[in-house]
Amino acid sequence: MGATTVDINIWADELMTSVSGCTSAGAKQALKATLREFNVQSAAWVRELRPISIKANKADYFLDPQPDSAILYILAIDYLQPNPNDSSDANQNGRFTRRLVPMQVPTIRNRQRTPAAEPAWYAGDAEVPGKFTLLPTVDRDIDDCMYCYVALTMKEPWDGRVPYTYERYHFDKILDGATGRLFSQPGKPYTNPKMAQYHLRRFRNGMAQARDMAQRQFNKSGNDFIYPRWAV
Amino acid sequence: MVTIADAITQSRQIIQDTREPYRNSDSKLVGYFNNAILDAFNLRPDLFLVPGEVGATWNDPTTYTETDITGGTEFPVPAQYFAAFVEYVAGYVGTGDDEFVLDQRAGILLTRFIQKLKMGQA
Repeated sequence: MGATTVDINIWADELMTSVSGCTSAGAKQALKATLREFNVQSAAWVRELRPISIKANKADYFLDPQPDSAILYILAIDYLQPNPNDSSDANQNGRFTRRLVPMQVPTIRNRQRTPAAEPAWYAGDAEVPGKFTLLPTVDRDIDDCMYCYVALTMKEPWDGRVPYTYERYHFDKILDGATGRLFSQPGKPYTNPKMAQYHLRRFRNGMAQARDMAQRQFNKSGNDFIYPRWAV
Repeated sequence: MVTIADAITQSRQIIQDTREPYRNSDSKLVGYFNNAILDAFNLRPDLFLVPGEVGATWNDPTTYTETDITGGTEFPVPAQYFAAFVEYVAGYVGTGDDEFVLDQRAGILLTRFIQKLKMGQA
C-alpha cells in the first residue's frame, strides 16, 4: 500500500450523521461490508508487485503475500524479455515487454506439454488467489522477468484502514454503499427502502466509475493513443 | 459513562420507588433489565457488536446481578438507547404491581421500548 492510509473511524462518524439510530459499531460493519463488495466488484485497489524470477521447468508460482492486504485477482502478468545480446544488462536496453495470455480451462487441457524458451500463457487458480501456473513451463532460469498487477482487498483481521486513494477518489461512493446497505436492513430506526435504492444505485454507478479509473490507471487525459510507426 | 446503576435509578424515579426500603428490590429490577437486554438482542442484534471492532464480533448478552449496580458496571449498549432500557424496566415493574397498578402507563413504557429500538422514536 502507499505510505498513507485513512482510519475508517473517520468515515463511520460521517455515516452516523446521516443515518440516525445507527451505532458506531454498526456503521463500521456496514462500511467494511461495503468496502469488500467495492473491492471485489471494481478491482480498484491495484498494485504492481515485485518482479518474479522464472525457474527452469517450474510450473506453479505464488505471489508475495502483502503485509497490508489480500490478493484478490491477477489483473495482468507482463514478461520482460532478457536482453538477447547481454543477459547481465541492468538498464533494460534492448528488452521488450509482452503480456502473458490468461488461459482458461478448455485450453489448459490442450496445452503444450514440452517446456518452451519463453513464457506465453498462464492460468490462475480459483482456490488460491495468489497462485498462477505457467503453461508451458520455461526451460531455463530468467531473473526478475515477470511483473504482476493484482487487485487487492482488505485482509483479515482488518486493521480498519483503507488506502489513501480511497479517501481521495472513492469516499462518496463507499459512503453511498454503506448508507444504502444500512437503509435496506429491515426493522431498524433507519430502515428506508426507497432511499436504499437511491444510494445503492449511486454506489453501483460509482463502482463502475472506479473500475474504469483503475483500468486507466487514474489517468484522466484524453485519447493518448499513439499510432505505431508502421501506420504513420 | 452511563452505568447499569443509572438505569435502575432512573427506573425507580419513574415508578416512584426511590426511598429505602424499596418496594421493588434491586435484584428484581436487574432481572427486568436482563429481560430488556435479551429483548434488545432479539430486536437489534447490531447493538451488541463490539465497539471498536470491525466485523461481526458480538458481545453475547450477559446476565447482570445486583453487584453490577454497586460495582458501577458500564451500560452494555450504546448510550443513545439508554432511555429505552429505563422505560422497559419501569414498564415491567408496572405490569406486576397489583397495589399501585398503572396498566396503561406500563403498556406505554413497554411500547416505547420497542418503538425506540425499531423506529428510533417514541
